[in-house]
Amino acid sequence: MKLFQNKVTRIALLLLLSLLVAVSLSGRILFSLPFFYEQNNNQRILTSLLITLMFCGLVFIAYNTLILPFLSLYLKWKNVIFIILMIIILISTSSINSLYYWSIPKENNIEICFDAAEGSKNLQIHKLIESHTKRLYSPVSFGVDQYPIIIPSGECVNGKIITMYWKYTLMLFFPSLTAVAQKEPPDGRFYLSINDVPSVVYFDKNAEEPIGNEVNFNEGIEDGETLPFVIHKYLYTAVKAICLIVSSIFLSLFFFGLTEKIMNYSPAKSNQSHGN
Amino acid sequence: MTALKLKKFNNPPLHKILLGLILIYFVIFGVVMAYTNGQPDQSPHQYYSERFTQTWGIPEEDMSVGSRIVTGQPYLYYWLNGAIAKIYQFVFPHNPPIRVVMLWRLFSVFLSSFTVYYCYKAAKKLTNNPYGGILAAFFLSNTLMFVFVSGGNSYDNLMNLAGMAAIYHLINVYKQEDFVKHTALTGIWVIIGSLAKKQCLLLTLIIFLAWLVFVIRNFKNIELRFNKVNILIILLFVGFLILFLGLYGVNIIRYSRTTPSCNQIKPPEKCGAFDYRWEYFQRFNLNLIWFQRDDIINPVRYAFEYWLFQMAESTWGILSHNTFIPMLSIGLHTILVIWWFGCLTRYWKWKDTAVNMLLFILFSYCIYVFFWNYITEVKFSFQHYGVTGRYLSPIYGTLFTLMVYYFLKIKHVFIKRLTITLSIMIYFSGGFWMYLSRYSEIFYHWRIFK
Repeated sequence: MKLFQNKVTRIALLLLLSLLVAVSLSGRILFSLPFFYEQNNNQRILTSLLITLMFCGLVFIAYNTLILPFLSLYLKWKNVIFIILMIIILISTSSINSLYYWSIPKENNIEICFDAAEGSKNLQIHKLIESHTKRLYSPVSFGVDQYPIIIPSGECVNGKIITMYWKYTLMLFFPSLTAVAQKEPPDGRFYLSINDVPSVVYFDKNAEEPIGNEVNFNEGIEDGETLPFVIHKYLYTAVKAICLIVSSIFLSLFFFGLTEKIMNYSPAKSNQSHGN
Repeated sequence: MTALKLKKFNNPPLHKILLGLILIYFVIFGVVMAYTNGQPDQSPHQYYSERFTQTWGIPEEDMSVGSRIVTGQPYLYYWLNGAIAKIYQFVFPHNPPIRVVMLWRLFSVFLSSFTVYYCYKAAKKLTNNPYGGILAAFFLSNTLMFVFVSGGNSYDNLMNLAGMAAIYHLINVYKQEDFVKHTALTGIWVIIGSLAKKQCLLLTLIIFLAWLVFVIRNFKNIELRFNKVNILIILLFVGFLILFLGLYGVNIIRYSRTTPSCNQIKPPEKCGAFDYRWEYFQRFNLNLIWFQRDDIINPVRYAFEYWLFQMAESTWGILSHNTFIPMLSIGLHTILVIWWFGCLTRYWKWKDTAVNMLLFILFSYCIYVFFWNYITEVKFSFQHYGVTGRYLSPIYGTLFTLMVYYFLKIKHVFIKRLTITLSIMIYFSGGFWMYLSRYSEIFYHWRIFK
């Protein structure tokens, strides 16, 4: 116990604990956000580092001001019930509510080509979206910062999309990609391949049943490659589960300390502590 | 700097750190919302702001433009936008770093961050607990419609700030603080709100009535202090009062109404707006309504079957030119409001005069918006034109202040702790977390790139 009485050791331990919680919190947040998976490796590392550092500072402050001062209260049974209840609520709501958190990200190669029936009209892809969730895929890998992706007649563009499906959501719907072209797409042959599985449709205004400007594609979308940082699916899921549990425990303690601070605030005490 | 001040500066109390973090949090949320389109009526706000960019005064009426009129209209928000644009263009005559339209949006975020700050101050004052203020500011910072409008170019943002600041100073009046100073500041803020948007006139009337009740009840105990600061504030108030009378007083004399209609300024053929609505129009007439009373949806049914839910959906969701209604989140927010109402009935006391004054402001404003919506519905065959929670935005802060006040009144410690914690979780998950987690599905579609 002497080890904990040493101020330097105590601060070092606290920093270590803060780092652990900060990593868990940033994992809990970043793994839920599709934009994180759409970044390249360097960007992902930078984002993780920045968020972790920010949380590390905040968690350190929270430990000192909201968690450690109330250490003696954690053993009272009413407080234990509150903390356990909060852990259960946080874990259960996070587990149910996180479509992307539990998913396995896959990178899919996309090739889009267009051959206009007449002249050299361009096809404009205004959106590439997940058909069910309406998630908009980033167009950056297609060489543009924002939609539309313009495909001149007779040419092709290549890019990648990151799909994120959780095995339980796959029971509810089949993965598919919707390409939304301009309102009145020019007549011609529209080719889209997902992981080298081609699909072709023809835009023809004079057809008996012209297809609109939204086309669904589902072939080949399951054949994408899992992102390299997902080394092992089960290990990856286990890491996320640990992140969820650690962050839930921390947040429960944080909420306990915060409510304790709120409920027991008295102006007189506050003035005293500042020497008034 | 004295030793005590230096100590406070180096070792700030936790609530000040939390306030700083919440303001940073709100500014980040507001700025990302500023890069999202779909806020209400951006085109007219941009038009008026651009008109005020052309002059330091009030621009002349452009008779060639359709139903948009400048004459006799509240101008303060547009005047500020115009001033900002002129200064910005003077500093960056060529290749400005961002477009002026974006600058106006960021200015709105700036205004709303002060609304959040005043919400903190109001709740702190009412609860005598700075953490109460932190909670109320956090609730407001995570109210989706408030942040959405804060990211747009809209006079609502100045009116919301003015409303919240005026209510804060009125709380101070009720808390027996410096009467002269806080009365003058209340007056200044309600005038600022009224010079920004006509709708604030009603809030001005409600606040004036609340102030009058205080004066009548405490007439003998009021202490009038006329120090240098107070005289300066009174002079400022008189200046604003002149502007107020210069707008609304002149309008009432000249046009017999608070603001002139388009038909009073321009030829009728120029004044068509919302043409698609007129096929449903029926002039509001009490005699006619009396004979048709069995065919019209009664106000109680309208309130409980439609209006209350619509208000909830367009407060904790987004209802505008772009719409996003997260049903689960709105359901949880509604339950929280019902729970607050339960706490209110359980812990309400006649002697809490400042709290009762806020309840009076909250309910009178809600009743006004309700009947305004209902009359519009009767006129337009219940087509639901202009029924949105945005019109309640000047009193969002009042609602959150009262919510926090009554949550802190809960006697049972465990239930109080659970209420506060779940409220924080509901507001966070329905606010910034909702934006982040649904970004790729919703907000990315609305993104403004430059």
